[in-house]
Amino acid sequence: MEKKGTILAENIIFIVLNLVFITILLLFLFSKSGAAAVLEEKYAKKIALVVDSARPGMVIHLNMEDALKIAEKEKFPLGQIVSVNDNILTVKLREKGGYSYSFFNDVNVIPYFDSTNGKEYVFTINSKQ
Amino acid sequence: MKKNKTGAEKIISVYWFAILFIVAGAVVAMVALFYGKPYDVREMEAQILVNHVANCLSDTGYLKEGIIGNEEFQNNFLEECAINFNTEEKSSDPQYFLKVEIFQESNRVFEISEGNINLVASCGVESEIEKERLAKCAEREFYSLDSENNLYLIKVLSIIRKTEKNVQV
Repeated sequence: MEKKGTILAENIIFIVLNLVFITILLLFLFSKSGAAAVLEEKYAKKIALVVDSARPGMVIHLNMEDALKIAEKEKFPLGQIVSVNDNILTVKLREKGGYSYSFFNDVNVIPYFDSTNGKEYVFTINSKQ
Repeated sequence: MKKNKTGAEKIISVYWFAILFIVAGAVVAMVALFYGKPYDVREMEAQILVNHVANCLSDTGYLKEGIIGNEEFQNNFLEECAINFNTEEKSSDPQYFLKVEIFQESNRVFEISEGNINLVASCGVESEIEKERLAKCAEREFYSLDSENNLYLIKVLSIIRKTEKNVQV
């Protein structure tokens, strides 16, 4: 009886250690996939491609919930996440960071944070002439 | 007997920890490789540029007026089609190349090329390793009619380099 009890305890410790190991690996994976630098690049390129495909007069709504959460955590102003200078678009989720990508479509892009639902960024596309 | 069993268990646990470290190392290496690599959007960007130019030249299958034989349009092609080739790296060579040809009954009636002509050499390279680091090309051919129902063949080639932003160098 005593021997069986010992085996059970060892097995439980073994399983718990394995679970701890898997949890740490999963946490590492999630932290990497949702990292600010990765999201900055992803959204800068995504928005640049959307702007390239857009035509003057369009209003584009983009759900950026995951990026907004990170910016909130980093205490970065939500209204300044996306900025456009001429045809260079920058996405910044933290003070020391940011990713810029250019778009070829020669249009005026006005980005603003939609505070009504707190999840979206809105881009209005206007002709330059 | 009991002593031997404990020794064997100890050896197994050492192996087990070694396996754990190998698995953890492999996962970390794979994640670092995967997320350390930039997203390559150049193919899509080149396709969008080709479509943008096609929309600028042709509307619902009809060639827009004032394109063929219009020097002003040819000289100000980028402005006329609302294209801006500036990039975030101001000092570097142009990262784009664009070529448009319009044929009427195999005679070329319009030709324009803008951007960095050296990028043309990147098109048609078969080697997968070199291909990733070279510029991405997109080509499109389509037919269009003018107001007098004359048929035109329009060929558009767009090339995008932007290697530093899209490929791990």
